[in-house]
Amino acid sequence: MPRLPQDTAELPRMPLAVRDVLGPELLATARQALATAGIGADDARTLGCVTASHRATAATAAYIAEVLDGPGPRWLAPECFLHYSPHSLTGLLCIELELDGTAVTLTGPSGGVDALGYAAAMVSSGQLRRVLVATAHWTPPAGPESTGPLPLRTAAVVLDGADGWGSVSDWHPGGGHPAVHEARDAPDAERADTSEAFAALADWHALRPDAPVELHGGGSRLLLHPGGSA
Amino acid sequence: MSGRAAVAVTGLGVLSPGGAGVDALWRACENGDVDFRTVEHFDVSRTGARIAGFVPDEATGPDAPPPGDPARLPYLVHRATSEALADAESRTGGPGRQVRTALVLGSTDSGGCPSAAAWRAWRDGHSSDAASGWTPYAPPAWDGPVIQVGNASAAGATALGVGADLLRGGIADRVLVCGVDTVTETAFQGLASLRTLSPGGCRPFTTRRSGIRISECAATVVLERTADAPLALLRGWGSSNEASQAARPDFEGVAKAVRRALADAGAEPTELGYVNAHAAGTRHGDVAELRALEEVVGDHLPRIPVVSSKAAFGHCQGAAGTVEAIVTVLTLMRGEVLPTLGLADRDPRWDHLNLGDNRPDRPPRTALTISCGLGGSNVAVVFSRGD
Repeated sequence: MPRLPQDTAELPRMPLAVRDVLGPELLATARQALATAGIGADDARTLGCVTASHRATAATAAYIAEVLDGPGPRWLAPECFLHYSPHSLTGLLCIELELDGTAVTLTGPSGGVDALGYAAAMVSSGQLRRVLVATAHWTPPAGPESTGPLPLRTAAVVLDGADGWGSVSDWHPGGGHPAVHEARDAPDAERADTSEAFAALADWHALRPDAPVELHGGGSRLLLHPGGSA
Repeated sequence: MSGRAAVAVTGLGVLSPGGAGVDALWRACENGDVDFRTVEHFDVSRTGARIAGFVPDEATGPDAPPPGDPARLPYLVHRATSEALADAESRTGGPGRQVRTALVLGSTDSGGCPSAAAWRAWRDGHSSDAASGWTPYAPPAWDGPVIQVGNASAAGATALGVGADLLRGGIADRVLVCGVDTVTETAFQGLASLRTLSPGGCRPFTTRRSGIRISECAATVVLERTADAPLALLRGWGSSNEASQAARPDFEGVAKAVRRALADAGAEPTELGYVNAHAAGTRHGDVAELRALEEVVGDHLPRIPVVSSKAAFGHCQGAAGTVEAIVTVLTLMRGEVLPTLGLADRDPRWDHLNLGDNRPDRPPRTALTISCGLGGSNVAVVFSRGD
């Protein structure tokens, strides 16, 4: 079983790190979310899938850059490019779990909140009854000082229009992209972790508070409302 | 058949290998007059395919960041978005009120901040600032939200669907959907190693099809909830993610996306008068797509022109879905179907189909555009004439 690289410099020596390290982790997290929601393999076919990634597949980019700058393009592992696009994560989930609904990949610093917000909007409009929302955070090194292991975090949740405790609403997509003037003054936008919104949602769901809570991330926000029966 | 509410297309803007503007794009589709040239901003001497499509220098102007400059993508977004917004406001007189305008970017990379740059910065002992290229080229008077869609080569088409959903859900009042990508070394060499690039370029529907040629492009479509005289209506969209292999679309997955788009639009397959296909010119992709259309449209298919714009201007990657949507809207507006270029060696298995080489009985009123991407993404979007 391929392991998480112990130092940053190891990363480009793993052409299929996204497939072999990130992929199984994300898949296990998604399977856990489906199991928690009581969704078996046959029921999963009806689900849509929205995935958030902010440079989570950067390991592939590091490998490609290193090969191109070194031995040259003929030495690229042919399969590596399949794991370059952020959509490779959505593709993995949909194909392995046989999710059959609408499939969207959202990127950027606000991707985590946007994925939850967009999925909730699809459920509330009746476009889909249930959506698997998932994310992976495997950031590229921040700067020369980043020499240790690059943390890998994955998260997933099922949004269900007919069942469950609590709801997600009032999505306000934000301005975390550098095209937006105010975002260029926010130094942390590039380091944004899309899994933080999922962690905050999980904490909120576990605590089951009485009052609504606003969730922020990368310039976007949404509201978590208490309520429901499950 | 009733679908969800249509949204209005009110403005178009594009910088393509055919030049700046929709007229240059139309001419490119008509006669193949595009800027294909040998890649010079990175080494292609050891690669079989060496040519890509670029926005011509006369269209970008002398001050534009050149290919390879990280600011080129933001520059293309700025130009295409400004043009589309001006087009919309010239027609509608501007929003006339404070509106919530969102930008939905569809791109194969991380919204124009390529990850490889971050790695090279780290390796060379710097902190990366991949976002700095945007500083001079933010979209015009931009303060609204930006949502980034990364569905590989179907990113542009998916962005159109997400944009329509933002309007239908009341989350925005006006949406600028911009599909964009430049020719990057990472994508070019990555696709070359995957044996997806063809030295001969995109030759869809022919016996000589053997892969794609990538192009740079920024294509923007302005969507509004309603408009008095829209250019066209985006009536519905559908997607699926189904493939037996990540690099090879299955006909079932494409058919599912088309059926969902038609259901979302409340349209019957027999209403279709034009299909702008994904048709990139890969051995298996064209087969899967045409089989999917035969499944959904049935006996009516030979009466519908099925056209590939990639034969004219190449595969515009994350912009493919939006630039081909613009070609589709122009086809509806102008009432003229342009053929698929380069069909001299058409594959005889599709001799019974109209690949744009026969003028239809009447101008199309409803049209479909299809996009497929690595990872199994299949997306279809339905448009109708604005009147």
